[in-house]
Amino acid sequence: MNETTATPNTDRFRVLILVLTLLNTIFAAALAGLQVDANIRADRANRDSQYYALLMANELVRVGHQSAYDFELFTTTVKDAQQSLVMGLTALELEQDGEEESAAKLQSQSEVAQARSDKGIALSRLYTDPRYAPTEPDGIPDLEAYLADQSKTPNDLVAKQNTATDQYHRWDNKAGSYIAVLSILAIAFFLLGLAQSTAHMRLFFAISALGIMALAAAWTGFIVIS
Amino acid sequence: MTEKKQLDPARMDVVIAVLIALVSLTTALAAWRTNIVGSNAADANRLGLLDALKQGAAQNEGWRIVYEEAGYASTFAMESAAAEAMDSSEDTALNAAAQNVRQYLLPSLQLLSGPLGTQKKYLKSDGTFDLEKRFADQQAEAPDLLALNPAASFDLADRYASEQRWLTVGTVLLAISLFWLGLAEILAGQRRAVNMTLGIGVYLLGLLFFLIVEVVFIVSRGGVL
Repeated sequence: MNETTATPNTDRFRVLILVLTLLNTIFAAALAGLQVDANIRADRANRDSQYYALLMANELVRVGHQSAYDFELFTTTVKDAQQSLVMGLTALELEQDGEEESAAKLQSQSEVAQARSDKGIALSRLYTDPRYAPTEPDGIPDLEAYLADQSKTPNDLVAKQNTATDQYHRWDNKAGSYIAVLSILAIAFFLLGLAQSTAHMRLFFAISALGIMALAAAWTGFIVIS
Repeated sequence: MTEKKQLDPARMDVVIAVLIALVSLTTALAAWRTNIVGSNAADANRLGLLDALKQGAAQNEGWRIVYEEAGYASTFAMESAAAEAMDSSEDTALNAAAQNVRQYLLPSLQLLSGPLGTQKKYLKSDGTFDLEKRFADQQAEAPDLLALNPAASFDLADRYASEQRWLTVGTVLLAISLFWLGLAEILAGQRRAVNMTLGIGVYLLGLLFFLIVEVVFIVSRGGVL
């Protein structure tokens, strides 16, 4: 009598175990898909991060050349203008002291230095670009605006690179976590296999496997929304 | 009688075993192909980064040359203006110096500043040098470096990665069909037939899906595997 009631129960549990195994398989397959997707996204973010780092390094080199040229021209221009001014003032002093020949020579040299400076100003981005050009005669260019503009592109690229790096870490962590969940599902598979092969502890192993699957599902949900 | 023969459990065992072997082989091939596509994506990314590195090095050298020319060109222009001022001076010493500057200094500076300082096309209307134009011309002198296109490699990598995603879905479908066939192997009666039908159905669906994905992406790449 006992045997006749025990057999259907055992069969019912076997069906339950088969269903659980099926669910576990589908779960593992879906998880494998999520893991591949996370890996692909991590790879892409990693590539973008490296690419932006390269672009940023190149931009820094270009900005370095440009700044060196612009400032070299600017300092030469300022130096020539100051030399011209000093020589002009000295020429005036000499003229007042009656040394007119020396004063004339110095005045000519002052004009030569001024011509050099004027040409430099005409060529300089700092004097010709309205963003930086002095707003009043004999004024100094807006060097702060120039430096801010020079560092804008590299800074933008650094921001993009940082974002890509953060994305890489995010997706790489997800991919790693999915692997951990897959390992847990392997344990569930093992327990379901044990449940399949033993009649005595079948329900215990099946419930244990179900618990592990529930844990894995909760962890997967947490990974997906994080 | 024929119906009974077809549903003979022993014969069904063999049929399902053969199906399992076939699906296993297909799944293995699908996993292999999916990995190949993933590997192609990684290769394209690597090529893109290498191209970006080469392109960056070429551009850095290009800018260095352009600004070197610009330095000489601006010095040439400034010294030319100085020589003109010396010429117009009443100081005979400066007049003589201007002649020497023209004879010895300016030709060397002009030579070093070329072509930026010697060609009018590089002079903007505001009197400054068109460095961007000179850079573009300078880069065009090396067509092999100009042809480097990291963005195209990255685009190809993204398409391979997209294909890998869809192929993974196909592979998962094949793996699921394997499970149903496994169930059919251990079950009996009508449940066996249902599971086998499900297994074959999912297998065919997975196979069709896999082939469609392959064809779509291969055609989009112009026939490249």
